[in-house]
Amino acid sequence: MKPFDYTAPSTIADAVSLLSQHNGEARVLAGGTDILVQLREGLREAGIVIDVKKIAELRALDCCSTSGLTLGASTPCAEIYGNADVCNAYPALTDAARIIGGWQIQSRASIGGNLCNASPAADSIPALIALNAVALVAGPSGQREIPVADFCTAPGRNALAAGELLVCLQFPAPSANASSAYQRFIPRNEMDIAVVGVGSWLQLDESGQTILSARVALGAVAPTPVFAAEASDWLAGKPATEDTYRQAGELARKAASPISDMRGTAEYRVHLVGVLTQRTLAKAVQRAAG
Amino acid sequence: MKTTESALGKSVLRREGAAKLRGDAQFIDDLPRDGAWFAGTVRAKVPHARLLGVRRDERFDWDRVVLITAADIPGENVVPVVLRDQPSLAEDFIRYHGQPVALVAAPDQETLALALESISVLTSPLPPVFDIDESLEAKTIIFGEDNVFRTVEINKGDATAALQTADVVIEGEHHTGAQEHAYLEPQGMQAEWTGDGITIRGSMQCPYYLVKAVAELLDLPQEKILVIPHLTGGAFGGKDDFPTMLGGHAALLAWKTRKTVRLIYERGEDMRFTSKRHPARIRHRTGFTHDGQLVGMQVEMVLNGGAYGTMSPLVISRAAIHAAGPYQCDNIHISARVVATNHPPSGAFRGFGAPQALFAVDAHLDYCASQLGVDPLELRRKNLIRRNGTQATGQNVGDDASAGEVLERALQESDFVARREAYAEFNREAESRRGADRFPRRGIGLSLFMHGTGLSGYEEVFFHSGVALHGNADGSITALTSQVEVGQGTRTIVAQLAAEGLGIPVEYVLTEQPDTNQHPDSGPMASRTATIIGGLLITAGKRFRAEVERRQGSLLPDPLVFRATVAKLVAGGERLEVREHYSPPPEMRWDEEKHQGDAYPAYTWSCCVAALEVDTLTGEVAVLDVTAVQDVGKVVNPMFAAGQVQGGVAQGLGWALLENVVWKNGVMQNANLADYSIPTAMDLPPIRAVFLEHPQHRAPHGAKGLGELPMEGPAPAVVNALRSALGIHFRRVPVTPEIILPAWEARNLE
Repeated sequence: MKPFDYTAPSTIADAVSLLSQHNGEARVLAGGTDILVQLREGLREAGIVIDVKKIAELRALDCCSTSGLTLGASTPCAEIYGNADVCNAYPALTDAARIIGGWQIQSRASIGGNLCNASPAADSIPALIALNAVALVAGPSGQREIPVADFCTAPGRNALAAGELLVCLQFPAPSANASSAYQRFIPRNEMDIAVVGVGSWLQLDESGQTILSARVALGAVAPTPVFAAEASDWLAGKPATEDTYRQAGELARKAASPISDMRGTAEYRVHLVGVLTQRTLAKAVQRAAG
Repeated sequence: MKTTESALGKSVLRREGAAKLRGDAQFIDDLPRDGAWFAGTVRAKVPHARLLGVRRDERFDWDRVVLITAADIPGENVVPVVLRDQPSLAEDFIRYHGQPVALVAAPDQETLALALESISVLTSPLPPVFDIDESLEAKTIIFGEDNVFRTVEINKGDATAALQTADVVIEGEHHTGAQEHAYLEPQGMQAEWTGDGITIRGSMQCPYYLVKAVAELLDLPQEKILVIPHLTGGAFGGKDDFPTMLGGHAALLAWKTRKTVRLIYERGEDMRFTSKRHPARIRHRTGFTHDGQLVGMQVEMVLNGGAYGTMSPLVISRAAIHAAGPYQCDNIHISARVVATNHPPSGAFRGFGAPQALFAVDAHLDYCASQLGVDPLELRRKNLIRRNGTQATGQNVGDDASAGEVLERALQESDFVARREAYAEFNREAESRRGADRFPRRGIGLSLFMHGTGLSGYEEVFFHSGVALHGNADGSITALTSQVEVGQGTRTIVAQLAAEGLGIPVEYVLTEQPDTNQHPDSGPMASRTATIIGGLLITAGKRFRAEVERRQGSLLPDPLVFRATVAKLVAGGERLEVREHYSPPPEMRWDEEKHQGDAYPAYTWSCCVAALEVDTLTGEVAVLDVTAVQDVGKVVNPMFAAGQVQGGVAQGLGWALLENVVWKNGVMQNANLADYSIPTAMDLPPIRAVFLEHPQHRAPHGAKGLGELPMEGPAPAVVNALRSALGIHFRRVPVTPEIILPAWEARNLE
């Protein structure tokens, strides 16, 4: 590991100015569970590491039934799934937060970091896309919003421009009769990288029999996590039945363009997209009804 | 007056346990670094080649570091294990990707990294050989004339004739994969130049191998080499033969630099370039009468030994001896070969060849039952070795024959028959269930197996195991063995066994991590600490007590009085020391050439039951519970024994279901603990360990070996349970979801 400088600003403005000043050689540290390993293994380099945990806005966890959820970029996973309101309103998010790494990792790792690291297999990103989350970004020329579905651009690359910092993620207020779920397939039962991950959100009508709208997103089956638009659109107006979930799974498979690697063949991954889409939809319906 | 209550059979706490729990335990990389130089290895980047030399980039100042190649070795360039075929540093040929070609030591890690980047290995490529069939074709020769490190043949009766006249002959071919040891800390050694010799500390099982190896490598007398095994966090055989190479490298650098040198691998380097379990291909032809009586067995087994012989000639012997399993058959032919390929050398791993052999024979037997239309339990009952039965080498097992008893006990403890019926009903009803409940299938299966205690055949004779006890000034007694503590609880077990012989409380016995100056050679391997070494300790303890009582002129049953007497004698200048060396039981006979006779002084017998649920939409397997019943003779420490079973079952389940070494051009691709999945606590089902304690008569305290046995049960039990769940016979471990799913889909299309 090469030596680097370290600084921990306390305001967004200071952080943005440091990022602009050290353009290209600054790395942001939130939980550090990815960047420290990458620096040590020489996968990324840094002249300066900017620790953003001291910035209040980046530690936010405000869950409100009318305005939605504001989740600071460095808020650790354990804090998120430790919040009962978040668990009730955004279960796909807390499903993901609970299975990123082990307990020790979860007390440091943040959803913002998971998003910025932009791994195709990141557990939180399909959940964020399904929940229609938006990234609030601060930069030298002010703030802007980026839908999470557009945030990742390639493996390990994101849409942040030079000097820009992810401040928080904003989630729409919870709808009536709606819920969500995230599931992944891994060879063992914990601490593993997803072979496939699927996040699903849906809203039922008042009778609970019909799906009004839905969002399905996939991980580890393309260079970036992807929104399964065709499956999501098709689900609107369909009855909440096993057969519907299975057909949605068939459509979701079309959004997958995986590679074969030592974690799984492309064929097996596509198969798993169908299975997990089916299962997360069933789980979301069960939650919305219960 | 009080006498001492025996500590045998008590769950005495681990002597090093508290320090490990607190995080105070010091592993090799925790040693102070003051003044030590850092070392690294220059490796070949091709699997098979002629070695032309190394090129040093002249922009780097080579005076800042010390570089060693084969030409600098003062003694013989060899890693002496069994065959002496492996050079310490490559000289003419490269036989595997990652083979050490040169060593570098530098005053700091940055300089070391720069030096390693500034050197390249020059080679002229040769065609590589990776799999067993290519090796047997012998178009490209890596070892000897035919690529075969060793062939072992075992004959009993006339298997060919028996198969010709058998009512039914059933064939089967099984495969097992490589496995990574995944010990707690990677391989590491620190060597120090002492003026006229070398002191080596490191993570290892067998310090005496290293003394001999370093003496040869440096052309120094053995008494100039001191080896001190450091606290070792798990070994599983991975720290048996490999440290002989690594310790030699550290010693070469210490000798050349005249300094202290640390050579400690990173996890990825360790996983890519150190030994693995031998992959195997095993073919069976088995003859039965119509009602399921075994009449003939032919077993043809080939193990992939990798580039050099290491322990392979001994591994193949144990594999062959266990190839017929715990079954009585009058006509057996076993042919076992271990062949060379351009993979990193395979080496010792818990079980030492027996797991591969036992997996194949028990999975095959269960499959045979399905083909014969016989209940697999009945097939086993009909054919298992009973009292005075003979196994493949012709050894009469005498009273040491618990196969039937462990089977019946396991059936009872796991409620096997009732659960098998309940699961069959569950599976029949599956199709009529709705929704997600349609997909799970359940099954229960078992494996029956045995493991020979101690080293195979005459190896135990050549291995001059010894122990010593000596009295201290405070009246305590130090037990000296070279049974290294590698996480198995040896220090505590040794104290319990010595205390038993001495008839004193276990607290009066001191044990230390051994070093090769003071401690007699005994070697922790082959599940032999409690039995072979334990027997010596008990005998030595009795002799020690008799000697103290003789000098005192009276019996000393009160432990306090005994202790005071030892203190008084030592204070008076008397030397109290008793040594004991192993000699095999005189009635044991062994023909190494024909592999005939008494292969082991005793056998442990076990039956492992696994129940599981398969998700037929993904192919994923969840093991519901495991019941392991074993006769290990007298249990010395019940807590440690249960721990060995829990850990062994975990390692066996990993080998069966998860642990898939992905090779490409002879290099492990998933060489990290994120991509190579070993089971975590969340993957383990409830594991029940049940012990039958039938004492073996060849050890004074009746203990048999336990360390390796529990690893051997899960793989065949899992494959047999999968057949019970899905009606499909899987012939390969690890059996992963991507193997299970297509097989299930293909079966449903039929």
